Amino acid sequence: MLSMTPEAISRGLERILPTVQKPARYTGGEYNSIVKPWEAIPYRLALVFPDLYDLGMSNLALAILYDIVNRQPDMLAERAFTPWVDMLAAMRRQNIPLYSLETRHPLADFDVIGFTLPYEQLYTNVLTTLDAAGIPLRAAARDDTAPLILAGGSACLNPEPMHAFFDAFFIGEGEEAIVEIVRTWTDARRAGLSRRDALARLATLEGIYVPAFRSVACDAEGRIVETRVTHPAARAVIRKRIVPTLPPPPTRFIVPFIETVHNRAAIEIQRGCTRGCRFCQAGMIYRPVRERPLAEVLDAVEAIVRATGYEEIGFLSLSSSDYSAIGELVREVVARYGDEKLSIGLPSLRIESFSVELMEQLEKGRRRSGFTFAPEAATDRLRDVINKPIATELLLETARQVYSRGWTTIKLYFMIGHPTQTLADVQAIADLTHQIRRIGLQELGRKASVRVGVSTLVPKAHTPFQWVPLADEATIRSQIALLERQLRAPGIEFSYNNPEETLVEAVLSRGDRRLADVIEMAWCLGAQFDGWGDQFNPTAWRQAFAAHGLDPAWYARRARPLDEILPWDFVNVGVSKRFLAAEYQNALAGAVIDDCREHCYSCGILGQFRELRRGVADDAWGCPPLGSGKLRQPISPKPIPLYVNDEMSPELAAHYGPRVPQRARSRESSNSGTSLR
Amino acid sequence: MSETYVQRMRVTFATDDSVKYVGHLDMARAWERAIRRARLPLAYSQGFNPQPRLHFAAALPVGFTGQAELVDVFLNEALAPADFLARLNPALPVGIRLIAAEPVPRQWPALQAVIRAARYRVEVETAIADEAFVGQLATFMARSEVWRERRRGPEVVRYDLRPLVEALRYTGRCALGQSFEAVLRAEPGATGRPDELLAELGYETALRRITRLALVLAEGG
Repeated sequence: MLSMTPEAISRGLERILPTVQKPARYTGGEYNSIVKPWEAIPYRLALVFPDLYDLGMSNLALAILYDIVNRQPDMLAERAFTPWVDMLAAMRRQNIPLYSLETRHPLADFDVIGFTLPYEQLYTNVLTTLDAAGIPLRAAARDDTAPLILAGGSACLNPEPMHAFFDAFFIGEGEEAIVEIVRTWTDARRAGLSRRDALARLATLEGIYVPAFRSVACDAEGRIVETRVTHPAARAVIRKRIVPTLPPPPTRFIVPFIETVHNRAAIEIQRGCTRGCRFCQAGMIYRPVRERPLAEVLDAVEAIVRATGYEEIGFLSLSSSDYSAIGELVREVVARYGDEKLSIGLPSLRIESFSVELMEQLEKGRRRSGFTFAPEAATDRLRDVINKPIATELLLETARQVYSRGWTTIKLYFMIGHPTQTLADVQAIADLTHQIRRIGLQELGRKASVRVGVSTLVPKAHTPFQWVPLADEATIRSQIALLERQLRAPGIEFSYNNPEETLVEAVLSRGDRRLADVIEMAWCLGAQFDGWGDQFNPTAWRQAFAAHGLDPAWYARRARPLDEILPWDFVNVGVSKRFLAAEYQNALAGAVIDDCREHCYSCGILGQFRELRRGVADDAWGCPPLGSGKLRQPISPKPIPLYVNDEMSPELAAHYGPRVPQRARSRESSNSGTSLR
Repeated sequence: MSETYVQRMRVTFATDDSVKYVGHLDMARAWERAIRRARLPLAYSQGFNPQPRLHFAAALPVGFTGQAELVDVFLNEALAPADFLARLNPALPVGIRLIAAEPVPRQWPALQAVIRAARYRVEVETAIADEAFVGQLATFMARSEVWRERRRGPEVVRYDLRPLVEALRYTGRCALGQSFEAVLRAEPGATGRPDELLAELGYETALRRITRLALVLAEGG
């Protein structure tokens, strides 16, 4: 293990920082960063976002945990990110281990290293990061001197592909748990417990999964036949932890010197979503809906402006239109800050005229650039299948208002490969785009433009589409080619995701324990920064799968029977498998269910967290009130004709699966702050 | 540019090792945010994309520290310099230290237009003997021209470094090796760079520590 004093690290950095791109990524010292006296603080946590500083500094989870841990007088949290390839090489040459930005201690000197993993493309970077820190990649190879290597975040809700590399996973919302975890582990180690015994103590905490205490047996083909808990302290089912109400938001955001992807502070105005889009993992896993009170949001805006000097604040939620005080919030913010140089980002509004009015208030007097719509599918029928019912007419009417009020560009996001999708649905993407461009021409003339982004649905764990196969590559390519031909027109820009990247994401999303070897080998062969397009290394992945005799299609493109044991079944996110299966059947029937603020569809969340629910106010959660004539609401089934798909293989035509918004998307949509879904 | 400000405050400040890798544009944004945190009445340019009216004398190259950097801060209200300093100081990131502030007349030319030269302290890692090092400095100064090539974007520019170096003064051994002070011209189109000088002296890749000690303004600046 590499060990070095902070002073020696600083001396080494003097030699290499002048030679790398954007050296300010690696120095720390930003305003509001918290530097505590290392020797005087007994509990030490390193928070790692395993990608570039530029990306990680825009991650809200990291900011929340940094704030909470550093509020503890006897704890410190410091940050580390994955250095870019030039810096990695330079550090290797100088034998500098990965260090924290605050005090420049090697990561290996901390008690706990907590990784936040919001998406699967970061898996290989975990290995890059551990390697740069001089920590053994595999949990089994770590001795008593190594810190606890912990992971949390939505890409851990199927922990199995990464099970070999983490000592423990945390499932759920970390606000309350993080302090308990750091304390429990550190106390156990200081009390002289072995690594294994300390892990056993940790495993008794709710939400903690220790892969070493669970065994999985598969049949010859790889299907899980049996799983067993192998330690008495471990739980058979890991239920996510939640906070009953949102804790106060962080306001003393670190202000980076360099430009990061978002360059702003963020306030989570609401967690969870009641819309129930069937492809959307976030909509399932962040239940129940919890709103932040209006007064708390407004106070936070004021505190952030004073503490950071930021020019922009983003209001984050999965569906801003559903925030009950959204109109008042916008009115108040405009009244208080309209004259100052403060802009507000409000992503994830519904596609309706009210949203255009909100954005008009927020962007008054500012340059209007892009407006984003995310209809996800181009026909009314297919939007029913994914349970995102928006009438095409309404979409066109909203587009007209957007152009007529001076926005010049509409960005449209679609997915191909939804279940029951036909070529007509793909063609409709092109037709709808042209229709919107024509509306732009009428309202604004030639400066009106449309940017279309098309990605392939990646079926995600814990969603109604978790059984659905990913579209086959030939089909994806032919559909993209069709769109490319049809969307080659003035005023229209078309972009799409690389199908090979999509495949790797799809495999990792629904993978099992056997993939750990594949991930490690792909990494050895050069795979890292998989989310960075130009860094993505398909050859490394292909070789790694082949070397282990595993077929990516088995994971990604196989229709899974409803009764199959799924690798993530032991993770309980509060939404029952029965509900997900019913929703999958509803999708295939083209049946829509309502916003579940109106009617409860018994997804399971209330049953799982009954006790927490009783402890908070009646309107604290988006769910209907407890026990007040809770009716199981009927779905609205719309019989759909049987579609025959000429270009798809017939056995797959019945399925056709989904995906959750990817990183690239969330990055884009929040830039302008104007996105409708 | 419309002159809608009330006060033009000339600020002298120092930057240390902790911010020396922050590029010039990033440094300007750090100042803007600090001024916003301090709630000082910063003036902005007009238009759809208002820019803060902060005029720095000269960009400090990445990797350099500065002991007496200059910036003009344009304000919408007149403030007493002591008040200005007291409010801004706590809002600045560690590593930027205010030294002085004084209002200057509106009609004075822009800072950038009156910078004539800059004085640097250069420390370079080397095991060379003192006399030999002094000899290298003297040899450089004795030359009548020193032609070098520099990449500027896609093109390569040939220029004479010698007239850009006004003075070199040996200042003895230091922890790193040897040190000297240099006065280099700093005018538009005629700016001497310490890194170029080091390369010419034979220390292209050697570890160095460079501090800009002072900016030299033209008469009346």
